[in-house]
Amino acid sequence: MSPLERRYRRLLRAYPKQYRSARADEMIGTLLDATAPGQRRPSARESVSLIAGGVRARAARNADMPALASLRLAAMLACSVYIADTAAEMFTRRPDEHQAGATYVLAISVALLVATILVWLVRRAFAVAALAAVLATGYFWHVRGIWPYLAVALAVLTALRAERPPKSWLWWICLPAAFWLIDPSAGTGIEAFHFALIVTFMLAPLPWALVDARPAFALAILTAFFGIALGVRAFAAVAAVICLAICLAMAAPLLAGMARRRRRAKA
Amino acid sequence: MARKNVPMREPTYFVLASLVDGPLHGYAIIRRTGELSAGRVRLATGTLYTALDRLTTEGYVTQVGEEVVNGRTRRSYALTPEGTAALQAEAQRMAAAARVVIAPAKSRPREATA
Repeated sequence: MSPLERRYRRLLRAYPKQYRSARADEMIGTLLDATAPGQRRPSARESVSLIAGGVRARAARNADMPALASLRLAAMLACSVYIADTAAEMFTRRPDEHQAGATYVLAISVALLVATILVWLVRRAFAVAALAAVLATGYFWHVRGIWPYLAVALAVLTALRAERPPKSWLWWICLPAAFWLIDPSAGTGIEAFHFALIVTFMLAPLPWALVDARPAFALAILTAFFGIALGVRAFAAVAAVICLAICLAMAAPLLAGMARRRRRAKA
Repeated sequence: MARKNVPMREPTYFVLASLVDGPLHGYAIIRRTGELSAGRVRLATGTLYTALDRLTTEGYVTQVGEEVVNGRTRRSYALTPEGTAALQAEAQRMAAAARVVIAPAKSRPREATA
């Protein structure tokens, strides 16, 4: 592979994976044909057109994305956060407060979490079983409100549906946001810093929502979950406003996609 | 559906026009649009494929052939009957608009001025 072709391939990463696997070779052929002899680097014009084309192709895919994919992600994140939160509490407790066998429970929980994430990517049925196991573990150790059960119910419901959206590790960027959202004392304990983190992590998916609405949608759902869990706090109102903004941002492309699919089905 | 692209953007018009004489592959479309537009339309590759995707979705263009050149797939694209109709309609529209300015003075309808 020539250095030029490698550079072109790097630019083509702007396109969604499925699009690339169908089109990349053909486009590379055209790009190389269109390149002046002796040219070593992609021209600025060509680079801009590829990046713009990639964003466009991603946005088009976004509109056809099942909303269930976002729900599933939100449920998955909620369960992960629950385990992480439980673990954090475990480590911050004084030794004399430890319940008998709590360390083993923690180890099992973390192992189950890892297994769940791996299995989730492979097989849904196993994933549901693993999630149930995780939450059962949490139940026997200590119960923290209703939201873990909402989360697992959502996970099961969404996992039972057959749609398989394209996978992306980028989704997991949501995890730190979710973690800080649920437990303000985690991390620094400095309220202002914590608030800045929340705003940053919650606002970051907004522009990305144009390209892939799932993380924003997932965060919006999580905010709703944790809003219930947190009750009224100083930053709760601001969080609600941010949540609303995210909901609006994610709703536009998803609703447009749904409307278009319905029209197409009718035609 | 044919109403959607009126007036057509110039690159779209020339991409469709480049396929009038038969199917072409990606790079050939870039070259042909350049020739037909006297160098005005210089399509970048990303722009070309975005346009081809859109025109395929709209039903104006369809993929007709696939061959392997230098180990890479090369696909050819052709006008559909809808594409031909849309291109014709656009050409008629532009010709009518051009006649208003370019046609000889005698043939112009000018009842208003007398």
